[in-house]
Amino acid sequence: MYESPIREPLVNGGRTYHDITEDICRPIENKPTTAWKVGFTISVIFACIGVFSIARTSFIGIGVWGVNKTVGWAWDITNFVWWFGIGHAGTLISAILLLFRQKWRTGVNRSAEAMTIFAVVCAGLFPIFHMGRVWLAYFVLPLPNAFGSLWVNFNSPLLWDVFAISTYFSVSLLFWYIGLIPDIATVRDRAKGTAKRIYGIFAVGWNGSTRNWARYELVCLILAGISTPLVLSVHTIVSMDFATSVVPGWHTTIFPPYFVAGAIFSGFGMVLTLLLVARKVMNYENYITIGHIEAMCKIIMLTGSMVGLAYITEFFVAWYSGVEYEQYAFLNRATGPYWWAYWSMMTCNVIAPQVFWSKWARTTPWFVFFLAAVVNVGMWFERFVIIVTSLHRDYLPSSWRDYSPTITEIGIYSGTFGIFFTLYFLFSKFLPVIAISEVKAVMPYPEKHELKETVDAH
Amino acid sequence: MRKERKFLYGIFNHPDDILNAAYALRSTRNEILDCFTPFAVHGLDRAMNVKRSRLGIVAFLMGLTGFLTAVSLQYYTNVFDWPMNIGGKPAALAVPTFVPVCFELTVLCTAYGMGITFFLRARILHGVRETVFETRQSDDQFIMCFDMDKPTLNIDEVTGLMKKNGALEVKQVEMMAGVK
Repeated sequence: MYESPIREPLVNGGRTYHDITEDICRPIENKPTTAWKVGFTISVIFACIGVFSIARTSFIGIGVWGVNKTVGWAWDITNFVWWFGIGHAGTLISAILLLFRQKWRTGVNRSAEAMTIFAVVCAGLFPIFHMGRVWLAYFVLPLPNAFGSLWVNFNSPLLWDVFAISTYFSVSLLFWYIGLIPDIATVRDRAKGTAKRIYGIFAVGWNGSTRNWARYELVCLILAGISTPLVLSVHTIVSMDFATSVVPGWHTTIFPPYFVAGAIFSGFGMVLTLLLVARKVMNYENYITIGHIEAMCKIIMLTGSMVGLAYITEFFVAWYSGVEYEQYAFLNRATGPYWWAYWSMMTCNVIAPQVFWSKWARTTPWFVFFLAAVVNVGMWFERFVIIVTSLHRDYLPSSWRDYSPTITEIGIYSGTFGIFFTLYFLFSKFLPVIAISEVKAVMPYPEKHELKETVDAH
Repeated sequence: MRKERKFLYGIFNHPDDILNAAYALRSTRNEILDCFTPFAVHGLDRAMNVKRSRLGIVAFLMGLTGFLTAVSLQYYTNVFDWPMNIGGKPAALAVPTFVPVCFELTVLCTAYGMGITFFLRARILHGVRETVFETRQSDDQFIMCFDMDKPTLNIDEVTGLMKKNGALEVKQVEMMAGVK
């Protein structure tokens, strides 16, 4: 179905359909490996640190954070935007690449979508617990005035965020689950006893009927069609949280495209980090090939260059605007007390990805792994620079304050790593990490004979 | 409601074979009940004359519902029930600031409305018994199934055509199944 003399095959190693089922179901059916147990335990420990730090914040209050009157948004919103951006690569792979008929996405879409969902879970914790009195978090919903508060304000980007993030999470979850159904059915048909019953419940009676496949493909196409503008809108709205304010350094119209490019950039960094480990540990080198890695590196290079262009444009516009506050904000970023954050960001995001022009860099797994980590660090610094350096010296020099995180904030951030990897380890143990049915549809297989009739145009 | 039905089915191990068999059967009077494949075999639905799904229309209507919900919600809360006073401007539908929520609710309702309809229409719901002829139909076997209670079914012709197009085996079975 997918053969071309000039394209490299998407599945290597001469696998048959049955081999694919065996390879991908093996981790689910076998006992967990030592590596899995160790990794899972470490993740759970970190998740516990996170839960403890979050509990401390909720019981005592936001005072346990390093935020102050001037720097009201700091680590929490930095981490929120960072995790949220990471999520975007999953939707890009599953939706946008589906619309562009990029068949290589089939090897990586399942785990990338899982990453999206887990990253959004981590991201969501930050704004929720930044509310302080988290038990009143439902006040962000449009509740009647008689309920105790006024109606929510639909003119505020913060409220748009509530709608955007919850929609993004729900739709990604649905898209992921519908994609999983045929593969859960495969696991069900191979399992016995209790496992068969549990997988049977989640496979909801899927039998691979042609009528259902036709519906399934249409549903996936429409979900991809609506997820594409959704993923762009979500980070656009996140950027508007900043762009609609009057803070120098935030108040720019370049933010939406700049944030979306940055989100995809960091997301692919995280996808590569996860998949390079997974393909090695779970022996998926035949499915997540060097070709896949190379394609993702090219996207990193493209989006990294877009982000670099945005940095330079921001600087130019700050000068060109003639607004002295704006000019100072940018000069202060590069040479002020947080110069190290700014230059870390520049090095990691603008200079580092340029090495992907070299084919060696794109096709050497250990090097790609290293660079993906650099990209993730760089994108964290980008959000830190935008948030903290823009806020810490505002209009009134008398209220200038510096910011440094407390142990509780560091605990929450490490905790989200724990939560993320705990979920990811559970996913890799209990669900097929690669989309079995989609990989089978794009794998190279020997043409037995010519089709007797060509498919007539519908 | 559900009773035992008799089925005739052929097992293939190559998507081209089942596709050829489906085309060969098109010129006969035998109607294929359904095919069960481990992945979407493109062209099989056309060979079987399966009508295009109307889930797209459902998606559109659901999206429209979401959009209208968002417009009415925002109009009611911020214009009608408690007019938002921003710099003394007249309370009116503030179109630009209402766009994002309209978009998000449209997408949310489209996705879930279509998703739930898909589950109902495809009769895949928790509790529905799955039609599994061979456990390897979700692995590497392609099943073509016929309803033996249909008087028009010519068993010998069907068996012959499936075998000729590469069926490994042709079997008969009596089972409860939620097919079609």
